Amino acid sequence: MAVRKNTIFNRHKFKLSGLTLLFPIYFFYQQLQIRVSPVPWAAKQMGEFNITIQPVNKEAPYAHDADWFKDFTVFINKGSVVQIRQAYANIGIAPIPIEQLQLNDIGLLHGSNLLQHVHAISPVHIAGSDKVWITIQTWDGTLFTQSWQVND
Amino acid sequence: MTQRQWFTLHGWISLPIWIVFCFVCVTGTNAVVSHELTWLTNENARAHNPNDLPAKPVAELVASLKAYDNTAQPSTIVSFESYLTTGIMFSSEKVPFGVAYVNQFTGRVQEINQGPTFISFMRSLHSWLLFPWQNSYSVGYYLVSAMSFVMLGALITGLVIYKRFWKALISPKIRTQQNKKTLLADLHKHAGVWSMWFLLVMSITGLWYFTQQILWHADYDIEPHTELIAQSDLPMSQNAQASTSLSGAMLIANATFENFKPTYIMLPEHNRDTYKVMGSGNSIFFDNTSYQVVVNPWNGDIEQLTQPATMGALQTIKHVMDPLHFGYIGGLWTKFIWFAFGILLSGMSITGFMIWGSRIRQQVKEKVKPRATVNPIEGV
Repeated sequence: MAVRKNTIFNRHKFKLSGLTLLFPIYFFYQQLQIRVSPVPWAAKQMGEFNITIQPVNKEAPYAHDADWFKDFTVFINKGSVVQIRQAYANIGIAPIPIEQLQLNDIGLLHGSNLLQHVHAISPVHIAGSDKVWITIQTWDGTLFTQSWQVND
Repeated sequence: MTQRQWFTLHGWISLPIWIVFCFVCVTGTNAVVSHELTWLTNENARAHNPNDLPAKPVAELVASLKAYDNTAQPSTIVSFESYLTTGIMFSSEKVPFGVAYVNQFTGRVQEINQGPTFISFMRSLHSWLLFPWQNSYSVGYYLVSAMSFVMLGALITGLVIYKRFWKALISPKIRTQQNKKTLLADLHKHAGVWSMWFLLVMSITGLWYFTQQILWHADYDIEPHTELIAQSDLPMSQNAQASTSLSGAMLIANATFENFKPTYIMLPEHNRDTYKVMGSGNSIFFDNTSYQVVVNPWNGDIEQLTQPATMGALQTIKHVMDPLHFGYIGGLWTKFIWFAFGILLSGMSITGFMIWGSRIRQQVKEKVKPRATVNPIEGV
């Protein structure tokens, strides 16, 4: 570990890794900031439910296992979570039929009675013509489907 | 390779990253005793039990929280130490996300914490330096776990340099009366020799964390994926009511495993979800989530069972590594041993750099004087 020349760099080169520790400081600062989510989209009626959806962020869909997702928060303004048997979300030009959705655990609305979240099934790239589809099935088997234009 | 080349290699392995390594060691040392530090610094996190009462069932603790805040919607229940309160993660109309510290002996809600806990902060800082997670990976997690290669390299080269290392075990000798360089070299060598086992444990567990991160990044499931409740199990009726409550799921879990101690319980998040009850059992080498029961709330069936005897190779490694890395394998005593060796390891990175610094100063001085022969190993 000989120093060939007595330069400032040679004397301090092994302290440079300390600069990496600026990252945790920055990320901690970031964590302290209040996250601003995109504006909620317009409330829409779905039978007895009045629903608002809000993208969690403005980022593109992400991959998990073999599927792609985009996250949303779902507000049930009118109606109650306890009235829902199962509910799903997908992004595309048409809703995925419930018979197909219920085969997997992807795209399922989940959370508490106060607030629902969903990792909506998404294409790799969301096109301008795509819509966010919410499909709700109530306990008597009635289906409600509603959509929001992605550019809304 | 000559002794001097091994010595140079030892330096090049360790010195370029010694500050980050030291930081990881210091935060890890704190993470080992983060439960105890929480107990010391936060009275509300202590599970006082002056009347020597038995611990209440978790369903009663959830009821206590609901009595405290009738809109509370619990999602996860955590209980890792008997001297700390049980944490119930929940949301309510007033609290978007919080952790209720509920005394498991008295049922009293002692605090609602809406920020990060010291325990989770220290573990995040140590494990991934707070780098954000990109769904399945964090650059920080790769960075920290890659330190295991450095540690293993430093251990091997250190032992090659210091061939008669057992002398430091049999007849330890710290020369405090000679110069600073001798003292630093003695401290570094002795700390290294005495913590050989610890360096090896941290290297092996660190290599596992590095492997685990690669597997996560590749979306490989180490734990079997919990399937949804079958569509047919879900009634189609307005008055549908799940037949198994939280207390029912706990009874099933307790009846399934001998000496089961629940530590982490996840409640259903939708109608096709399950109760996931995790805890520790009779196997002392396995972590405190190695025994798992997944209970169907609609019929009380056990959907999935996990225990050490039925685990695959990777799953077994996963559940064995944490107690070894964080030192809770034998409870408080081993935690304190890990804490002490964590301090030694942190100190070694500092003394290693100081030894290099003193060698540099010496070399600069030697440029103006005739060169003297220096034994780098003995440091004198």
